[in-house]
Amino acid sequence: MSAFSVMQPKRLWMLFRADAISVTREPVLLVNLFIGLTLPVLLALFRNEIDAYADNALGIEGFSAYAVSFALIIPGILIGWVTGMLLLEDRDDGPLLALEVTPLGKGGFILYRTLILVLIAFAATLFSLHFLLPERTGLYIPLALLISLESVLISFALVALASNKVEGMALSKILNMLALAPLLALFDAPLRYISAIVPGFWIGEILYQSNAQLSLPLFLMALAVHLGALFILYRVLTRRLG
Amino acid sequence: MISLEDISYTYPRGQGSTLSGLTLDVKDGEIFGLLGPSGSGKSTTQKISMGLLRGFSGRASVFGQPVGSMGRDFFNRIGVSFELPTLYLRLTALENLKLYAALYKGPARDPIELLTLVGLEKDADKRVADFSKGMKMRLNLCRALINDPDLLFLDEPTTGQDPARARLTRDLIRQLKKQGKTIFLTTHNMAEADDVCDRVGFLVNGRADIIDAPASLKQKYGQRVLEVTTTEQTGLAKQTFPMEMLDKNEAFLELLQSGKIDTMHTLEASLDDVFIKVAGSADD
Repeated sequence: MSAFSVMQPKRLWMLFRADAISVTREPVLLVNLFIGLTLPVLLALFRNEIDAYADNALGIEGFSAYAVSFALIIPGILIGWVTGMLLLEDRDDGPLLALEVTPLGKGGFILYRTLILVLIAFAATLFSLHFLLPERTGLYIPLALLISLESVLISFALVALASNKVEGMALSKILNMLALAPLLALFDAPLRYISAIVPGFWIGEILYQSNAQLSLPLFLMALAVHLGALFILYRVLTRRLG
Repeated sequence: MISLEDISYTYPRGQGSTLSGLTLDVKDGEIFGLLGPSGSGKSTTQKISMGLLRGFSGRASVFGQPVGSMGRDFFNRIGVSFELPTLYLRLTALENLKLYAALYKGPARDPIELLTLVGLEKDADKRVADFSKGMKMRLNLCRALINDPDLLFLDEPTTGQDPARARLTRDLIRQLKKQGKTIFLTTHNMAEADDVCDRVGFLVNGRADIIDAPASLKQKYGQRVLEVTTTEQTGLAKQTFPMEMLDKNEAFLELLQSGKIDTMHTLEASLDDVFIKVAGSADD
């Protein structure tokens, strides 16, 4: 039996069921998920009104074009935040220790959490893309994949950098700023080049630079930056989890 | 069941060795208590036995096989109840047990039956967040038993429990032994160790050189004297008499006939006394 034993359907279902119950019984987590999923819908439904308001009140023309990247990435970030907070709780409250002495082990459990997170964030991003960019279907799969990796980054960063739930709450304020990272792609050089180390920059790059067709090198570069950041955070995370 | 031979271990960035040449064995079907001061390495010993700590020197085997050689299947055969609750607080007791049951390969024990064993059956549908610490510890024990393990690691199993409940938990531990389970227990509670353990080992300075049955240790470290309390005009008075040739001790026999005796008992050591002597001598 290895960490991959988590793939057994009954086991996967029981773990998912436990997480779902935990989230529905904690209003803070539930509200965050709700906000994450409603924001893209609200932006899609009230695009004209938002543009008009931003133009009149702030003097920004075509505000929704900028807000799209934010609304697109926010479900993934908030789902990642919820998963990260659950993992922090599992560490603080002890279940992670108990899981370590089951055939599943910590490795299997983290694999489950990562898989489920990727799946949910992927689906949530597809849902957001359907509302926000209905005409750019060619970007759906690459963007959903990158944003789901972004959600794993948020989740890992919370556990890797926060010592406990309180620190996790404080850190989440900083991590939520990453929702603005795609806007870095709109800056001129040299800031653009410096921003290239931020994974979210590449989502903006794809969103703002690609037309109907996505350039494969651009996507591979974005994927490499995301996987590189994930690798580093995973190393820190496994050290923190013992 | 568990065999540790000449085990030494130093934590990374640790100051000195936690274990230095520890040798002990836990036999099939016995309750073995590992006792020692805080920080003496009791949890480290358990972790090494469970295969959770690597980088130790010496030989460690469980179920007759080197620790770590059985892969994660090993965990299908053991149950662990940690010193602190390790439960999902937002789930109910029953939801917790059903979740953990799904993580093992073989058939699991009935969660309600386990909850009944520790007197939590009426709280099965209550969220663990609303449990007292003692209730959480009882649920911890249920979690450790869910896979019907052959070998149980129990760390301070009666923490947070009132004396009556702690007695029931100790009864349960004895019942588990009768069912053929092997139990490796660590505790600070000497009365508990004395009550349930077949053998105890004192872990001091990274070694367990003193391992024996509690009764033998108490005899060995106690005084072979009889203490007699009598009521005198000035109040209570205590006298001690050597156990040897007591039936020929004239002073004792005279006192016995005087009718002044209130209490009389042998001064064998308690396990507490043994602990203090053993740990104290290590500091000297």
